[in-house]
Amino acid sequence: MARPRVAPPARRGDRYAAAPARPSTSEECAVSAASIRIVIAALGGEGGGVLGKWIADMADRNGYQTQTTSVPGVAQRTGATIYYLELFPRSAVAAASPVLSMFPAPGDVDLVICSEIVEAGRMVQRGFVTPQRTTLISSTHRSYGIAEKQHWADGSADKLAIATVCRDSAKRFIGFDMQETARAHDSVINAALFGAIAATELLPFAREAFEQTIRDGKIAVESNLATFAASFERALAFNSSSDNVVELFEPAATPVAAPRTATTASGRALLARVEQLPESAQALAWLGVERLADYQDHAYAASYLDMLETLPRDPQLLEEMARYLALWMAFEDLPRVAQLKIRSSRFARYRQEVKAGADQPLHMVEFLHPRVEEFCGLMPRRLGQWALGSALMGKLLGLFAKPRHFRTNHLSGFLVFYLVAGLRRFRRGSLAFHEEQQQRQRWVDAVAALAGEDLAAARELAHCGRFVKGYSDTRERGLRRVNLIVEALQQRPRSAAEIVALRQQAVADEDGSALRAALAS
Amino acid sequence: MAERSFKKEVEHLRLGAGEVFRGEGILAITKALLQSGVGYVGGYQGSPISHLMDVLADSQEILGELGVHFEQSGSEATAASMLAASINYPIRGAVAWKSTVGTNVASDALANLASSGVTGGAMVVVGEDYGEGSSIMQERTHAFAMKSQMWLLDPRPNLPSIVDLIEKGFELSEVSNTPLFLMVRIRTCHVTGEFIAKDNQPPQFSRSNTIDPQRQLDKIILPPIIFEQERDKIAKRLPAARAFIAEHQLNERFAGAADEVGIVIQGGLYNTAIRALERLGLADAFGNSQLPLYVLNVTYPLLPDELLSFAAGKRHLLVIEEGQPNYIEQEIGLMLRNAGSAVTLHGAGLMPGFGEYTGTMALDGMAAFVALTTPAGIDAEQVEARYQQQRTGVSDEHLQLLGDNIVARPAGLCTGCPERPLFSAVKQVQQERGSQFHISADIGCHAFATLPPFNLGNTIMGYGFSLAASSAIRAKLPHRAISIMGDGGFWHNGLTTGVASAVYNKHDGILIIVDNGYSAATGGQDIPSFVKPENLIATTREERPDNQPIEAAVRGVGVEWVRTVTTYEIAEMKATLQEALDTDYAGLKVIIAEGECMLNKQRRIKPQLKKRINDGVRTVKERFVVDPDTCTGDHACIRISGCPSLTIKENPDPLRVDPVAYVDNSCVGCGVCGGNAHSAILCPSFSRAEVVYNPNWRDRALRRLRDGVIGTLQRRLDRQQARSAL
Repeated sequence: MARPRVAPPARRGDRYAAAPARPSTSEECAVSAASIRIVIAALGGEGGGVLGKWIADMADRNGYQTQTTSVPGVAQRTGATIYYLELFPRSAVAAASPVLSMFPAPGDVDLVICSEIVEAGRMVQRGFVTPQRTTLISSTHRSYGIAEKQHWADGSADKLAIATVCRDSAKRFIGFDMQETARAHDSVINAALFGAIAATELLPFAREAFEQTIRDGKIAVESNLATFAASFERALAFNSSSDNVVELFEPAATPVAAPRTATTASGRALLARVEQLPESAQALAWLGVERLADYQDHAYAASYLDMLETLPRDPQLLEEMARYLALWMAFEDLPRVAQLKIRSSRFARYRQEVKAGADQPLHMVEFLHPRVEEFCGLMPRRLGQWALGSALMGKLLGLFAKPRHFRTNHLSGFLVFYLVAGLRRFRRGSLAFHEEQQQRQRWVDAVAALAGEDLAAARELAHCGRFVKGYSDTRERGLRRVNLIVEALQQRPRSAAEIVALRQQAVADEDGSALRAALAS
Repeated sequence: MAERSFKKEVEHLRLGAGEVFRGEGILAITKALLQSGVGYVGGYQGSPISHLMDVLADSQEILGELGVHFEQSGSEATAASMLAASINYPIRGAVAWKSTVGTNVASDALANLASSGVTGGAMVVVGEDYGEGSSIMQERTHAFAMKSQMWLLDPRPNLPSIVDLIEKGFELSEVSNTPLFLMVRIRTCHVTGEFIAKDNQPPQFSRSNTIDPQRQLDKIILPPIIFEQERDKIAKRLPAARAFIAEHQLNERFAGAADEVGIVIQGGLYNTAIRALERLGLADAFGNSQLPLYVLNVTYPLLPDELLSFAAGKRHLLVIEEGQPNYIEQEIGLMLRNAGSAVTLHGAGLMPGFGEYTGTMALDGMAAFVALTTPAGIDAEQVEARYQQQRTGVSDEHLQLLGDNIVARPAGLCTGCPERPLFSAVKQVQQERGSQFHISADIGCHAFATLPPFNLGNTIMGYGFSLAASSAIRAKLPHRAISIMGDGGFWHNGLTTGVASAVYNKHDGILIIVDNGYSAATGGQDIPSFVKPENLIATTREERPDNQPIEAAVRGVGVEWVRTVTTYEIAEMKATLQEALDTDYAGLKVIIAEGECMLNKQRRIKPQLKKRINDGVRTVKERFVVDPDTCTGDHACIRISGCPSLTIKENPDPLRVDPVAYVDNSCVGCGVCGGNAHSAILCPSFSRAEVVYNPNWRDRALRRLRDGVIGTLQRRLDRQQARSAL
């Protein structure tokens, strides 16, 4: 686990401090840079070598001798790798040959080109980017590392922080989402990077030389040229405006702000109640109300507000509870999954995501593996409890509880889902609903009880609702974590900091032994 | 199929005298071998030599025209043994491999070769995988050169120097009857440059002009001849080599104004050193240095006379020698002492003394040397000022921010790797059994399973050694010992070292052989076996009907329990592993985990698919998607997969904060996500999209029918949803 981040994620829109003053031209150190020194930082499989070859070919045709080196191999299997180029004017080569270096050296690089923003940060970290000398070009999109991806919640790096450091560390920083630029023109990121390089005018080659290189490549020439041109224009904006580059490249997520409107009488009543909550919790609470009305009905949404209203009017506590209580109440049982899978909006989104044409037949094969527990959970409470304990029922249900493929675009598959989705009207009497409700209530009660004594600790306990997610074993593991922490608090009160520490232990491993050890100590 | 084809580049190998050769280091090396008139070449792949093997494989036509025999050797020991052709006969030959691991494997043959001595020039091209990004332990080829007495060439890293030294190297080998190493560092293998070519020399002997067999008793490794060979090494071969090196000035001396001091440097580090001097204002871009340099293009043996003459009149010498122990520095120290020299020797103290010498290290070392020795003719203060200017620092605050946010990118399995489902299965079995496995891992892509997210594997002992590595620990484990080996490792060493030995010793454990049909980690070279789905082995020999299946090989050495399982059948793989763990059968259990590399498959079928679609033939394309509605962002799927195409994106649901799983466009539809979702009972979010191109009338009719009914029902659902709206 990289960095457990159990606190709410940083608001991505935050602005970082303004750029510090850069050394003026007179302060720049006079380094005798006989050759132009270029680093390309890329990820395996992205074709950093192709970009290097473009630059080398262009230089070669325009009177420059080029040396490139790289370390292919293991690094390319999803790892980060760098290519190093030196360009030397042939006009300066008389009898002797220049001695070109095999390595980029910190403080000795003119141009650093990165296909991804974390790699740009890595180049700064390694010292290749210096404010006196280096122009840094990077796409600002993310390609996530395994530590970020496998995190149980959100282990992703803060790219705005990295971009800010990049801006402050480079002589010039050009950063925008070049992958998006490439995608918009159905091309690859190299063409976008190439366009940005041309826009810097750092290399002694005219725009036409760049474009000719793409043409000479003879591969996807039109789309590459279109990407090149778009990226060129975008990068020019950075040339003229150097201080607000972080605004030039997009702040990622937009904060939660949904318009709140209700058209029905009961909807308006619910909205009125939401508007009685502290201002900052209203947006989330309304989302919760909408979610639960869709999940079950208006009465169910009202019961959600009942619970929120019993809690102290602490904005932060209510934000946490509004979020995690709604998600818990809208837990994904079979009817919910079926309901979501057969929506027309999902069909449209799916078609768009796989880039299928409007009139192209598209089969949607859903991978489901319901367990006996899920079927029993659907049953009325007592029947379900009996069925769970019955060997015969286990065998019978086992005929259905196995890995299954459903084609939701076929009548048979769709109708099964349609029927299962309809079962939600019986949901309140089901075993699964009963069990979820019980566990949830214990947590809500614990939060309410704690809020009276230690508000800060109650907020952290509320945040533990984040553990409750996923299906089958994953969900059970999450529920166990919450239960363990709730039980521990019943034994003795713990401070907010202690609960945060427990949360970190809870996700330190898959089997929960770290949490149990932490609770035992 | 090799990942990289050199079919186009190898045409440069035909260039004749006076023409300009432009290209990569490995191609220049091949060209130099042909210019030297080699009669045979061979080797074993491994970075950075893999591409040299690919170049040789791709240039078989040219080799054939010249009469040069080529073999893709079964191991480095096989390759080293090839050099036996040069013992009795005036035939030049060269073999290549990754050092030092390959040299370890080859060292038995090399020691005997070096003892016998050679008649024809014999050269081992070793690619040095040294430094931070290396995939092997950090050791020096230098030790092997010294212990077996093979000469070690370490040319300056520019193509003319490399080519020239290869040509001279063969002469040196013949004059001194000694095989030698040509050492090229990883960046040198891939450096691009140019040189003036010469004509290729066809070898004197070939299939059409055979040689009369000759026997020389003094070349046989038996007593008392061996001792005579030892005497010959010191009495004849070494002096002959030194004389040749001196006469042809293989080492280079560059004068400098500040002649109170001097730098002795390995040839391969020359460019790095010059760049550091340039940055300190002590050299120009063309290598004209103010500090005198003695560049060792031959790092073993050293020439005392040359060294002492360089040292004469100096106060201080700096030895820049990469790797430890600092053999060169030690030997120079002894030379100076024996000669009664008063020169102060610096080396591993001013330089780090271990690891790859990067530009920064050279800069630091040179600056420290000047500051310490303040040679006449150099303004040491000015050098120091320039040094301080060159030093870059990232502020602590920035380093902290970067440190918190820059993620490691450990190597992992590619998208569509057939090994991924195997390790998903192993991890699931481990989870179901509730305790960690001890697994003996091996060299190859499958070694990446030791890293996140699989975290499977405890030791790596060498190529093909995993089964042998579990031979003792198997008696102490709570579960049957598990060893995992690739097909490359199996053929390299695993069959004899592992399987035959295990059968003989009644090894009651499990060996999983990952069989994808070719040597994957080194870039897709051929091996004796290949998988069924397609005859992948198309690079060098096109189709091979005479393949050597792994199953036949293990049965041949006595294995009775063998299961061949397709890795993509995760449930079956899990069941097979469970069976192997629990069966009453007490002998070695071999599971051949077979699967085709999906990237290879893509390369194979993509043009076919494209053609089918363009030709109007009905075609179905598959890929996976994750439903962001039902994905709750717990990433359990990623923890048992690690597929590069299975990634995360911001959660579109404003209520949820954790990123959702997401399958990006690089997905090749291998099906592992779906298989895992089923076998590990993950979540209902995975879906396989089957997009039909050029639908036929049946597709269209069914679609109309389905869309009609489903559309009606969906409109009803939409109305219901609208009614429940607030």
